[in-house]
Amino acid sequence: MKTADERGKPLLRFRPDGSFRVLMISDFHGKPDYNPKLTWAIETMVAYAKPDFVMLGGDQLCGITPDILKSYLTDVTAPMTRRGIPWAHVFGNHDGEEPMSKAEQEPVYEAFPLCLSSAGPADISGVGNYCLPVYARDGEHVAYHLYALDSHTNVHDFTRKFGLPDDTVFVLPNHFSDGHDQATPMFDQVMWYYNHSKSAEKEAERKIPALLFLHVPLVEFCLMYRNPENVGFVGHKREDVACSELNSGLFFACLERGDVKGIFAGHEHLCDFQGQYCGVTLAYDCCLGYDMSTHDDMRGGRIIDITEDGGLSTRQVRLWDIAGEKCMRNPDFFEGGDKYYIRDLHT
Amino acid sequence: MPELHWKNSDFRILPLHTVRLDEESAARKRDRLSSLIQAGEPDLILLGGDTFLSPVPEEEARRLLSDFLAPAVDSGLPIAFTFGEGERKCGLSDEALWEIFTSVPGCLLLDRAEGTDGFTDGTLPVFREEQGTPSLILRLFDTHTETTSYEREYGSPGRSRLPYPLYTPHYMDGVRFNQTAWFDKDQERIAERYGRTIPELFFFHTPTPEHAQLIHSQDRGGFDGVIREERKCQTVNGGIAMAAAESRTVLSIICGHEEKNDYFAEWAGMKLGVEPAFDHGAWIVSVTPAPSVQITRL
Repeated sequence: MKTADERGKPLLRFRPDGSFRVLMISDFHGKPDYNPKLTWAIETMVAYAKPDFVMLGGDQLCGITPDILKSYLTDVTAPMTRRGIPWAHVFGNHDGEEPMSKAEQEPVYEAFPLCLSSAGPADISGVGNYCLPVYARDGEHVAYHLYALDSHTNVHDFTRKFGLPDDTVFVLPNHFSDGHDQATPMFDQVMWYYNHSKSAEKEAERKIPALLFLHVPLVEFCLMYRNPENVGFVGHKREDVACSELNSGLFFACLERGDVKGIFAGHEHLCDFQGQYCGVTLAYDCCLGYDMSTHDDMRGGRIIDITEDGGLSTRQVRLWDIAGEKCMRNPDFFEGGDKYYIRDLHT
Repeated sequence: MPELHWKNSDFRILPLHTVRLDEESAARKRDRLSSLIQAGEPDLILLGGDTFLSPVPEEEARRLLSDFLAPAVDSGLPIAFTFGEGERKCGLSDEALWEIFTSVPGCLLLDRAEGTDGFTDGTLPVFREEQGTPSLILRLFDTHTETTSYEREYGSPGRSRLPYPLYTPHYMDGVRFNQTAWFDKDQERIAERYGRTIPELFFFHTPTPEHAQLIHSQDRGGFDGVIREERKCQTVNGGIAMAAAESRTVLSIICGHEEKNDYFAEWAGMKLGVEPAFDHGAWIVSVTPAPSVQITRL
């Protein structure tokens, strides 16, 4: 039974009982003098979830310099390293901020022996479009796929891609989403997923169930909070769904392919909800960082349990529920406002 | 197969949406088409879906279509067509309707797509003079009926119908992702065959969510038209508008379906438009040699 891929990286495999647990944690927003509570939070989440694999869901850092990127990543992935847990990442909208581009950061990530990420095809938009196989217990066949897509920085990525003036207006005054100027995977990335999914089915002679990870939510996430009773809405929505108004058809592609069971996003620091549309679970993992705005009771991560026969269940785990007031950034002051604190804790 | 030739300075298309042929209005509609041909001097008549809506026996459908298109046939004009949801409500099979449409003299046969969900997905190359390379590709898509049609196929019955959808509570199907993927792949084939990309125009029945976005913000500059009814676009976005924008070869996406709305505007470097139903208006879509697209109301 193979235990490593051609890069020498560990292969993902279902446990003997046919289960596999993913922990998704996002939005560390690490900077050169990052708050040391971040590493405590990651350690706490990993210790609680006992995952088989950890997905870093984007915005790992903001403005980290080349000289400290490796040490920063060493620190934030230490909980996985100590336990021998493989991990991977997608880039978020802040990850490409100066002074290091995503392309420059990627090899630093990939140099970690447990990092399974890859830059992805060079002729596809973005950095970090890849698919990780999760092997069945027998180690012979692929039982699940984990797709990762780059969701870029903002809508200007599209104006550049389309060869349009930079002041081209994409988010019109009246919009259908919550009206933010975020980007979304481009059409060539959607085609890459679509073709990969079709090829995998042809090769395996069956559909391979899959999860899809990206940083910025799809516009279809807006349907969750607008139709809570119809989609099985669970969780919190304390801010807009800051998705793109643009839509490259990724959700429809997933719907047609019928392999993606869940689409998971980070990006929002005050949303951790989940729901289901057309049979596909759409869910946030909120945030875990201490160097950006959030509410003290919202930090956390998402546990995604999959089974070898294609099953999926997921729940958000709040750091507050594991560690209580210890997770507050300032022990003397609850950040988030009484409105939420009282409602969520006492109702 | 008859070819489309670009003979004059501009190539002029008369798209006709939602004609809804029936016995009662047949003579009036034929006369109106005759007037439109005289006024618009088109090089091509393009039936953009919902040519039929009410249940109609096969022979009656054949006669109604033949009578309606007589002014075009008499003028020697080529005719192309695609299907909307109405063609699936008239009681005839896609195959029967295809045979009826293609039996009209001058009706062009699409270079049909293989492996897509659309029955009338295909392309029509337009040649200028005797050059072997088309100057323009007209790409037609089938937009099916309502979301129930793909819910059945993709195993999510009833689940796309949420009380508060993103764009419109009309739950329309549209250009599905596999049709968008066909466009992407076919573009590569065309570029390989002719050594370069060819400008394209898209025609299909049900508008995209991007068309609806334009309605939603009609007060911005560049919006040309009038909105008289609620938008009725595709429910789940199949990505065709973004694919078209990303290709940078598509000049315009012309749809119908919304009977009384009549508008077009620039979006991502393309002209998106919704032509009203036949009884409410008609356009000439002119492609200039530049190439660019001009829309004129008749």
